[in-house]
Amino acid sequence: MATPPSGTFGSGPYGGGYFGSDGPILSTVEQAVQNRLEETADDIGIFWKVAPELRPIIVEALNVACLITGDPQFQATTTPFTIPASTSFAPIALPPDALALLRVDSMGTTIDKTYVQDLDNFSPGWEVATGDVPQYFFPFGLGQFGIYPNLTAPASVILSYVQCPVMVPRPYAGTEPILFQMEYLDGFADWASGIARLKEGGQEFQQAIPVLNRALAKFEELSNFAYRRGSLRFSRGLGATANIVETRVR
Amino acid sequence: MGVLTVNDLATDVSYALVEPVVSTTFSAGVVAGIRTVTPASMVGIYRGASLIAGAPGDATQEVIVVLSVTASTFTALFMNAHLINDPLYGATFPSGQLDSSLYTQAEILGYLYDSQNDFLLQVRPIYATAPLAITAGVAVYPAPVDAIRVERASIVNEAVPSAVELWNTTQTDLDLENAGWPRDQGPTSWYQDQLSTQAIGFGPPPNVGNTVTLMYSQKAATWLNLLSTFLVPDPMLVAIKYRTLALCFSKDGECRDPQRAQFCQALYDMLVKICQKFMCGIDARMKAAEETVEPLAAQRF
Repeated sequence: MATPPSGTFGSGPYGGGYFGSDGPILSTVEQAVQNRLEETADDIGIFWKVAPELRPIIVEALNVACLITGDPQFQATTTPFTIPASTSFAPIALPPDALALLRVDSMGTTIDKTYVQDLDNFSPGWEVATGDVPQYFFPFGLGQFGIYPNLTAPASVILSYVQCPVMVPRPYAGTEPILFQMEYLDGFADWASGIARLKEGGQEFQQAIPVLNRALAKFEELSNFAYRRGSLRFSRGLGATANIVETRVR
Repeated sequence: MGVLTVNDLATDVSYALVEPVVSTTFSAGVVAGIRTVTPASMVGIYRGASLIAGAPGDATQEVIVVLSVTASTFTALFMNAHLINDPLYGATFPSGQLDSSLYTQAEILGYLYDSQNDFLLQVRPIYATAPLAITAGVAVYPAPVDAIRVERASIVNEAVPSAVELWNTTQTDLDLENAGWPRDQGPTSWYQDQLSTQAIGFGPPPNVGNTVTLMYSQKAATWLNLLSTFLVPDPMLVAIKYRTLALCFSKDGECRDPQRAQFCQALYDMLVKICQKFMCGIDARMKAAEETVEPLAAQRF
């Protein structure tokens, strides 16, 4: 069990797990996973090594939850993002911790979202259009976006995005913060303990499948948080169709 | 877009397959050249194995190939010097090496490579742009080697400035519109039908040399080594892991396990659906969502 530089010793269902000064950390879930695997709660592990094996599986649980729910979402209010000046379109890279761009705000005004296809339809020649103020942003897959018009001078904007849950290289120290609400922790422990049993094979592995399904049900339920924050962003649950915007055919 | 390396994912796969992983250090410093070293442990090290020497982030970190081994030493070609206690690690899949191996490193790297491109094909989360030089009278060109699907083509001239989008069409449509289009002056549109694989045509053919800007969904076109990173963002790499495991468990041999192969494949399929749904939900594709994703309710194990 990694000891964080500062924090408190938790109580309740995750009693015994360390909490960082700003909330749960990987070690918070680590002990719950070890308990569910009937492993000694130490920093090494017996059948499952803690640092190189269990912690990556816990991070895997965070990533799966991120993809299902769209959490954690982050608005970089304290560090404005600078859009460079340009005379023609070039994709702009998002910050390294950003998975998908949700929103762009200029200082005091919003910048509407559009698409390349719409720019082609309504603003031919958009690739070389220039101006002083960004009017639209458009997605260019994950990790990149574009701005219309191209700016004659750099401009600062505020980005809101889905954040990669963990963006530090391995090996994980156990002190990496968990950026999700506390309600997620139970699902993380379920997913990680279920996946860890994959290497056992046979009956042990089969008996882990209901545990994984329980984790999926938890993430599905928690996707309601994302729904509440943006009703058009995610469908209500995993069972609903994702056809949330009209089909457009050129 | 991410910090995870091929070795990180290969290590995850190793643990799921109960394969030993090399995780040791240099017992003494080593200088560049062909050197024999004594690591703190020889577990997982065999002739032909690739290892990573040096700590992540170090400028001297490199992939080395073991040339020969004894019970306590190995010999390899080092391009860089390494200090005492520098890490030496890697997923080497040592079981059964050298004559009756269960898995080889090259095999696992191949599985990871194939799995990444299968995922990129199904989800198409990454886009790129590339210039394509066209010459007068030549209609057909090779598409970029890392292109899954060309999404858009345009001719941009910053000097004027002007930008003209070329219409995505087919040769059949061009025929119906104007049977003499191959003799007209162009281009006004682009097509990919009735051509060789990975080619793009322009119609009418260009009448002067120019540069076309292509936007396309991207795949990985370069082979992987232990220190490579992925095109797929880190949170989505979980899918690559399970397709790789599905391939490992389904191959012929001592470790085949149809039940776990089926589980890993089902998990991969579900994660692909989740990522497709994520792309739709977050609306991150170049065009407004033009594809829908099947409901996930039936996706249980």
